[in-house]
Amino acid sequence: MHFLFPAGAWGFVSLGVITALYLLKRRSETVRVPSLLLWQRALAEQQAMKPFQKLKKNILYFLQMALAILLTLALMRPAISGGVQGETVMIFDLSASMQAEGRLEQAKERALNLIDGMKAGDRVTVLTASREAEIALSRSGDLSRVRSVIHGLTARNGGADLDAALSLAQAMGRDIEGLNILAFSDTFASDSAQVIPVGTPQSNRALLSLSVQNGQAFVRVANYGDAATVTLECEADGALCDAVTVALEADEVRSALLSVPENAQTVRVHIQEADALLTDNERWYAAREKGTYRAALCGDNVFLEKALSLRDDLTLLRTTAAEAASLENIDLYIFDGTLPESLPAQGTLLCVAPDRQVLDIGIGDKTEPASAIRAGLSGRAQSLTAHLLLEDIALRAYTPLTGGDAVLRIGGDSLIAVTEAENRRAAVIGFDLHDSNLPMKGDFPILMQNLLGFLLPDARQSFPDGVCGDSLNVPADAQVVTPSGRLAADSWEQGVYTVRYRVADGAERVARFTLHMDPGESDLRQIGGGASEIDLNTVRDAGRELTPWVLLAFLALALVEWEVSRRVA
Amino acid sequence: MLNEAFLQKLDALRLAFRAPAQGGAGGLRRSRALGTSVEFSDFREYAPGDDLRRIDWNAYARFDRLFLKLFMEEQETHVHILLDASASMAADGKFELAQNLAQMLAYLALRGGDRVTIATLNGEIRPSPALSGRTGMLKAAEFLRELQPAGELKLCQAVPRVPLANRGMAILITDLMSPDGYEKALQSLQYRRQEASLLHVLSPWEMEPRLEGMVRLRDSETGEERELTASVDLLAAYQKALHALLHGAEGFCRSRGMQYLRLLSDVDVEKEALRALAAAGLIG
Repeated sequence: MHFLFPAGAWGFVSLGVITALYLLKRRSETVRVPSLLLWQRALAEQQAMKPFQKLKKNILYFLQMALAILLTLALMRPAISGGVQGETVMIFDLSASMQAEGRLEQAKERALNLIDGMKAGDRVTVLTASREAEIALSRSGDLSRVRSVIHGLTARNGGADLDAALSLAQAMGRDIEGLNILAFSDTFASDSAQVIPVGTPQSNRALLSLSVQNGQAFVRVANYGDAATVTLECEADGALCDAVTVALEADEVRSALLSVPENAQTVRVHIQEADALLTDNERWYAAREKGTYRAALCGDNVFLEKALSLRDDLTLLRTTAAEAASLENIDLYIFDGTLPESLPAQGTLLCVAPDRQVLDIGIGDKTEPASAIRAGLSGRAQSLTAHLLLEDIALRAYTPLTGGDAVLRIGGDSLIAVTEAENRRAAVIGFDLHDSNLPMKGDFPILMQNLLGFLLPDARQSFPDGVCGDSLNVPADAQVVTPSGRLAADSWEQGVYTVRYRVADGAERVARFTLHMDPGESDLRQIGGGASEIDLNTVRDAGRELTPWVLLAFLALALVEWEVSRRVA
Repeated sequence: MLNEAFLQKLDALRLAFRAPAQGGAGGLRRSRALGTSVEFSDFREYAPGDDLRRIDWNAYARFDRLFLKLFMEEQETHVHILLDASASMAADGKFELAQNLAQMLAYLALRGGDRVTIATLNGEIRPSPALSGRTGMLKAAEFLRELQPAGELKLCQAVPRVPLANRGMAILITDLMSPDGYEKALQSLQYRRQEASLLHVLSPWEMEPRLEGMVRLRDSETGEERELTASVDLLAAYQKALHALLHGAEGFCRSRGMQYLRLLSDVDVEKEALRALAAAGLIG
């Protein structure tokens, strides 16, 4: 046993104070009585009746001393040794599956049991693993702070990058000798950490996707468990519009069609029957307004024309660089090669092999490629190169770009860059499309759609439906409202998000997109990542703080003392 | 001390004495002796030397023999008032009540033609001279007025040493706070042919003491001190001891034909105490 707050021992001073008070109190008042005769008989009677009378005379003193001792012990916070000792990192899986059957609560309870016996010098770091690994608390020896942080953890709707969290913990371990790493998870398995599995295998049903077209909702429902029958209910704009019963075999994924009104703006399909995880029992669809955008294509480039024509919300005007500035209400200017003397004042820009700087993107000297093309590293580059294979792309020459975010790189040079400067967006391709086989590849239309998604931000690709926890790729001045109606600070909420933003002509536009729980979290049948041989004995020896018990004893004794003092008075 | 007006109210009352007076000087109280009072008692034949004035001439005419008429002799009774004047009586007006009772009883006795002696008991025994008549009333008041309670009293040692007349009435006024008890004292009075009465004087505080916490009690007679914690249990034990004393004394007196009267020091002497004395049969 040890004490979490040894300085509380100063409370023992109170014993001396009580004793001193009793000694002072013993200077009792002298009362002159006619005779002691009856008092002596009374005392003799009392002592004859109660052999412990002498003890009783001082029982208040002893009780108060015992109370002071208990209170001081409570101040010192006694604890039984055990649980975490030394330096410990606790990794918590905050994935969506941890919502099932209170798995995260189990994890918290186990962790709290382990830290109950923390003593002076012990330190705990709390790492959370959701889409990214985060440090919730760094090397704290404050038990109440650790408790508070652990209590505050909530499972999210996405997956969990436990490997990243473990790497982070191991990186800490390089600087800290004897670091214990404990991971609380329902699915994780690792040889590098002591994994404490939580939860039990559960059956679950989940909706995997929902799309709406021509008055019909197409939904896919998966059964992770034994055969079951589920009822799917469909609501359009908050009103129930259809329901269907689907019989599912074990481990089966089935599709179902439900009727919805043609003009429905939001559609919600949910499984009526409750199961282990409720979050994946519903799926949302948000209709999108098709924008009408005008793009001015300056130059004669059939590749660009073809790629742009894939967008049915885009009206393409063919013109020259010199005449482009005279056109009105153009949302996007596409310059192939030569730029006009002055760039248009409004609208976004897509410049292919420009002859001079575009906004803050500079143009270098013509260079021959020496290595393969690869995607840029920034978050925006990752988004704009989504679904690109970037294989076997040949390039005769290019002009290295400077400034902006590099979307594609070749060696250390930026090949395609995007920027957001002077309150407008621009994308620059640093090579002539005719000097490359890229337009002949399947990557080209994808790349163009991605770039258009950036340049025309209300297009479908700009606000794609996704998984909770995805980064929100919206314009800097856009306002995003979560399904619960608050301004979005993150994307962990499931449902329909609303984006309000302004386009080139200053008009406000509204777009919607949906985010859903990571479908990979719906299968709850496997616990501990299959590592059933985990030795739990090493973590069962949890320490425990005894302060509540001491306080309980203090209260009980205080009641006894109160009753005794009442009788004595 | 009692005032003159109150004492005059007592004129209609007399000290009750159950046994006839015996052995005293002539007085107003009927005795067993035959004497010269107006109350007829018996006849007997004349014998030479008898007082010729007592011959019943009517009887001589009827029987032709000389008979003497005999009448009851009226004698005085000696009343002894034994007053506890120890220090324990000083508390809460106990001694003042005892003084008033003694004066009242002495007045009644003297008004009844009895002889009265007041003896104070503490470390020593101090009897007054035998008092009688109207001057005795003044001397009794003066004697009582000068008394101050002090010293220690052991009843069983002191009472047997009090000088008493052959027969009479003995009234002991005390709080019974005597370490050697009271039984032998009362028995000695009866042994010495006294019609004994006990007036037990206590203070309200003694009946229901109010103490809190730890206190040091000092005995007013001996100066002895005792430290104790005034708990509920202790006060209950005190009550038990007190009631044992009260019931013991009352029972002892009743069983021996003695009169027992308990009075608290806050009693109104002129009303309640007088009524209590009458109810107890001490005055009538």
